[in-house]
Amino acid sequence: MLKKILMVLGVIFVLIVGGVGYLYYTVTKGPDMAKAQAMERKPAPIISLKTFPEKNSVSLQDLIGKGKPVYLNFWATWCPPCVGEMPHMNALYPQYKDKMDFIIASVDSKQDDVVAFQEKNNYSFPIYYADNREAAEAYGIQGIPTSILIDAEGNIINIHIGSMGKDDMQSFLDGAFK
Amino acid sequence: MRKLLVLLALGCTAYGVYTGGVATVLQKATFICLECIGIG
Amino acid sequence: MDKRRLTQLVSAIAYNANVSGFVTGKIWQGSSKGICVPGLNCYSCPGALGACPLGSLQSSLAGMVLRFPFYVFGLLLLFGLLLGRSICGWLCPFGLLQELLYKVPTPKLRKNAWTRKLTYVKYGISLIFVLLLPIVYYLTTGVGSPAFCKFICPAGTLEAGWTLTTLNQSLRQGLGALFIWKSLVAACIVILSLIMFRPFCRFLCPLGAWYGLFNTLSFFGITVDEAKCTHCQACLKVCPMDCHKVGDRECINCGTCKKICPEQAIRFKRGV
Repeated sequence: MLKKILMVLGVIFVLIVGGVGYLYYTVTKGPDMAKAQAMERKPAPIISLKTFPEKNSVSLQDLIGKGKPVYLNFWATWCPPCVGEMPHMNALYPQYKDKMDFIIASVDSKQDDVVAFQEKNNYSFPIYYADNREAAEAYGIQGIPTSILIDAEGNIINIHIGSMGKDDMQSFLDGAFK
Repeated sequence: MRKLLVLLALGCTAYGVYTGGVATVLQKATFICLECIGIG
Repeated sequence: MDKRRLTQLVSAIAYNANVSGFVTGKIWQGSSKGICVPGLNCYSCPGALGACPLGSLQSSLAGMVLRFPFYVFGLLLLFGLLLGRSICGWLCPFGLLQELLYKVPTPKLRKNAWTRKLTYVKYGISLIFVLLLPIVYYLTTGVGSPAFCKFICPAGTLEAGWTLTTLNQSLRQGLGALFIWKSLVAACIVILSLIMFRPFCRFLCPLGAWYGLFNTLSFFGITVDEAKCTHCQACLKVCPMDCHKVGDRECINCGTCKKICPEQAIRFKRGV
């Protein structure tokens, strides 16, 4: 009886592992439509932001399309992958700050958490406050962190969902200069 | 005993709502937990 | 179809009624997501209208400041006191899935003394993955991580992981080892569910572990009329879970024992 169960288990296990492997293989090799869409260079949706730490209101309109590409990143203090990619951001910022503007926009609903976060980490890149509902609706943000590359004219060149390693981030940022 | 616990439960929930607990849950539930779905 | 199966189906559909999400691959972002549903239902499921209580608990422990999650804890306590593990038996979509899988005709692994011992594992999982690890992550990296959701939860993998990555090409960029690990965990639980009754509920589910603590206290549940009981133990023999007594911490209030009791000594509580 036990032998029969083990055999059935074994066959099903092999099938499922094979299936998952096949799915993973085909899925990661598929065409990336999000990237293709971004390539169409649509204008970046305008949202309202607040400066950190002063909380002065500013529109994204005033910050993009000024002749410099922009790296827009949506994150939150409670999001481990967001926080995890920040050391890379911090390391790359000095190299890019003269040729690109960074807008690292937190969607935290408890804005004091961002203050506490920066007090602890003291990152060099510019942080902004964004409203999570507005950002989600305008940019269709489904998950964070989401990185958006905007060209010097204010159009979206590239979008990446999920955290990035240092090399991937560098390649992503370099995309603005091709 | 059960009545006391129910009061505690209601009190906790009410206090949690008062201190922004619902907003906290809402902000997290309305973004895809990328880690949770295996992306990170 | 009996009342319980109907309730399971209706609740599974109600929790995940955002049908367009399954077509567009987008999750619901409305304000109903601020409310936790009682059963295990991932809030990253494209259909989900509410929040998962377990996910909410862990992510409330994530963040810059470690705050006690009063709202989620209060709700979990309330659910437990009102319904105990009848949530498991009547209001959990993942429990329903396992029961449907068990209906597939295969040789079955019946419960025994070992499976009863294994029911303690879910308490360990709860302590380590739901409470300890998020706090350890917070202390070491500055932000808590929903460790149960991240490393274990098969409901998340099935409802959210597989659906969203199938429907969203842009999400596939980030697929890696974690996705493969979670897929294997989910696959194993699916396979086990074919040959064992509700393996996740019995051995792994932190919600079941928590709600089980309230089974004897809860308003709704199952109880034995001691005056009518002849101690024939027919109830325990037919019970698909690892109960030692009707209505103990392993009882999901499915009512199978109630149907079989020759003295009709078992009934559902309706509160005092």
